[in-house]
Amino acid sequence: MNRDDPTYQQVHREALSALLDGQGAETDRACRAWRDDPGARADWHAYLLIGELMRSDDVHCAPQHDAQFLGRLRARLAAEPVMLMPAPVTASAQRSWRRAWVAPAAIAAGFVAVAGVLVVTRVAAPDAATTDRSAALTSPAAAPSGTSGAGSVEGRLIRNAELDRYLAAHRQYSNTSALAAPGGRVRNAAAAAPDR
Amino acid sequence: MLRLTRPSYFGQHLLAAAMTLATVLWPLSGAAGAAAAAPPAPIASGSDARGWLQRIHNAASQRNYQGTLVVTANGGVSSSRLAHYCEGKQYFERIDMLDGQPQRVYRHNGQVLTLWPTAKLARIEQRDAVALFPAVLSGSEEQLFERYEMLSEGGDRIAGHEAAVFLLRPRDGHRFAQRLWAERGSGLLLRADVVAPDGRVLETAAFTELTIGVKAQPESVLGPMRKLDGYRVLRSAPQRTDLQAEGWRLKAPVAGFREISCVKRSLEGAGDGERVGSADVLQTIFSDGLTHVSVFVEPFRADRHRAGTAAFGATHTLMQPLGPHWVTVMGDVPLATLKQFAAALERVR
Repeated sequence: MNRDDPTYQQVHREALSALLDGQGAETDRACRAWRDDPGARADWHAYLLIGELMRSDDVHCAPQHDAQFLGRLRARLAAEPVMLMPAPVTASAQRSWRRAWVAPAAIAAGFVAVAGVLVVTRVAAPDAATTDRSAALTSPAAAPSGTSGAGSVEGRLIRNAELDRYLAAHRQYSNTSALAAPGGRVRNAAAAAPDR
Repeated sequence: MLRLTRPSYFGQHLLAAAMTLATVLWPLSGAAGAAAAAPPAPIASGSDARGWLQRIHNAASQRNYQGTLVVTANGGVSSSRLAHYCEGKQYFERIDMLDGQPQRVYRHNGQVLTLWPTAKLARIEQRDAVALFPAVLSGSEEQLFERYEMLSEGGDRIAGHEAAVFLLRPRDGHRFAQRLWAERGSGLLLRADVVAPDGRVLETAAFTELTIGVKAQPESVLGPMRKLDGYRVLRSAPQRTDLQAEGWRLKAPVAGFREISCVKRSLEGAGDGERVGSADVLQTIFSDGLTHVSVFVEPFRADRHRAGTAAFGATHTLMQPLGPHWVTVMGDVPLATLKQFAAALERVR
């Protein structure tokens, strides 16, 4: 469809507007439009600005901001190191498969939680100005798990008792650094936490 | 922690989430962007840099201090109370882990006692002399400056103390940078960040509250070390050896790292209580003067060993088989450096 086509414009505007109102049926179309069409991004920003101005005294961010944010997010994701690649499955490896599942599932749950909170608050926003404020408070807390890609789930979740043995032995030598920093000894102690 | 390679199947969710997040979180990302653009720092002169390192090193062991230290890695946070006393040539230290399961560590010179009060479990370790007396500084300092350059980044204030800020920047890609905040009076390290090549902070350890020059209270360390009634006590002591004597060698050295110690030990996790294994793990420690890498070699056990890589904060781990043996390489260095160690290790006999 031609981007200059008025029908196209109408369709994507409606999709974006629906997304902003928390009606997710047109999400794919809206996301595609946002991705491919600078005009759609400008519209999206305008809609947001209108919405924010209706509810708030604060005037908001620069129009290019969303795209810049996404660019940075993508760059960070691409730079994330590879983690715990499961070994080829053997009969005895069944248990470890289950473990390997935990973090991706938790990460996925994290994203869902972030998205869920925002959807809920967005829907509620027009009714009560206070709800919108709570959205702003909730989101920064959720942000680290979203922006750092995967794995910023709570430290303990991913800790593996088997690995901790090595970690504890490894960190006993933190003092060999020319610095002998106090942090090294604490990290060493932290590594040795028992799992019961 | 676990991460995935390119979580592409999250793509759709991510895009949607990012679009929404972007609108709410812009103050956060904006601040991050601004912090990344630091002005270029002047290079600290050679003698100056060495002087500061010496002071940082001495202050950590010879000053009396206590405070609260917070370690942040991958969004996880753990805090602890730390007290360190020095009387003559004797060192006393007490660490209380404040998060999760209660745990206390007492150290008197080379003897380290770890207590898990809930589990009524105690572990007494006699630390390896190398781990204990980092007096190898004269050599390791030279080594450090071959591999890192020290940049002065001005001043800052940490936990109420004025600090001088330095960046130890690696001269090659085999190691991470560290940013250090040293108290101006004593040289005590107030904060240390491990920084990836792209500028991301992988791990931070910082005092949030600290008193320097407290009165030494060795009895607060020695007292609990004597009272172990009701505790199940595990003891361990690594045996010193060397890589060659055990029939191994690195066929190619890894740039900047040299072997500083090699021990045979058991890797008793605190988790498995009485199941303390035989001393069948060989641990060789390589140092570049600032950070260290451990290479563990042991017989392969199918019930326990899984090949792969892991990262927690700045600490990366590589696990893989080598013939009938199992090799685990661990250190605060990029994964590629660990791979070099693993590739260079070979059986001599």
